[in-house]
Amino acid sequence: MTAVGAFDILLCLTLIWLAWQVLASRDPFRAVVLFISFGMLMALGWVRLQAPDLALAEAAIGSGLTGALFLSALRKVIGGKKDERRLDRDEEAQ
Amino acid sequence: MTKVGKERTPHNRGWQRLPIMALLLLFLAALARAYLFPGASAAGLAARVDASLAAGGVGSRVTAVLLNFRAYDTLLECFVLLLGVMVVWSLWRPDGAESREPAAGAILASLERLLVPLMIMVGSYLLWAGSDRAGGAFQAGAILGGAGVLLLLDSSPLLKVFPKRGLVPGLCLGPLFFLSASIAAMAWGGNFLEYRSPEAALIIIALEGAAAFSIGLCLAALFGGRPPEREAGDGRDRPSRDRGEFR
Repeated sequence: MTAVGAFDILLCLTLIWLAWQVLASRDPFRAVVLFISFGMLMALGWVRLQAPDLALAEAAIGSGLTGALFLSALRKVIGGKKDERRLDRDEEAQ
Repeated sequence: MTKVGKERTPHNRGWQRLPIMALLLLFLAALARAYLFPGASAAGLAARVDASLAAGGVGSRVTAVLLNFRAYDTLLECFVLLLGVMVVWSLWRPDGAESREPAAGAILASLERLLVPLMIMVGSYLLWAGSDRAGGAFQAGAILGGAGVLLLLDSSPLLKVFPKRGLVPGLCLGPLFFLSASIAAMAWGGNFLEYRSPEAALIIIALEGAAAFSIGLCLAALFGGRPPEREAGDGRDRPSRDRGEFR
């Protein structure tokens, strides 16, 4: 097997694993961070599939802006309710 | 995550997930079948796109499909984004307003001075490159939107450069320009959304520019989440980023 093939398989497995982690994560902040990293790897996947347009869109919109929107929504939903800073929750989760 | 998860989740409802699991497996099997036995559609539309690329006005297949051959999708996407901003604005409640700006430090401020001009440049490049390479309106708009988000993070004074009244017209510019160009195409003897070859290149570039501007503004406004009327006084308005395109 070539190195490129091995990389592709590794990429696929990592994507599936990350997707599962996003869905299974109990901590919303953690899920959002994992979602962002999923988007970045997905963009890499689109590059491997020779779809640079999709890769750009995925990296910029799917990963970057959606991640920012998720984080902002998280702060509004949870931060408003619990009235504690996000950093505190991170420490608590670990 | 399972460490955190296990202590809180009730695990005795596993059997309720069985139907969903079965449906998902069925779906997976259908996907696998479609992948392994593609059938007649395997050849795709690439040949047809290539054959009519000359009439499309741009060198990039993707851009030609998105803005000419299948421009209907792109038109609707622009309107969907606009709709999204309207929904977010209508859901805005002022009580959460103060939680928006925590500690924005000097690092963020200097980072945005460094990055925002770069992002405007990269966005404009992507827009221009979209005519014959990877790139295009949505990618450019996303990067401009990212610059806007960066500025919104610490409600940068740079945001004041963008006139508050320009926000709503700016949001509507792309979709409305798109729509009017499509209707104008009918007046020039084509069909709705059909740009014929001589003018096509110019129209598509102009469309992409307007669309990218509005997409960037929409995305930043989505992040800002606050409708313009409510923010009297303190000078923190949301969206801006793109003014660099004009100068």
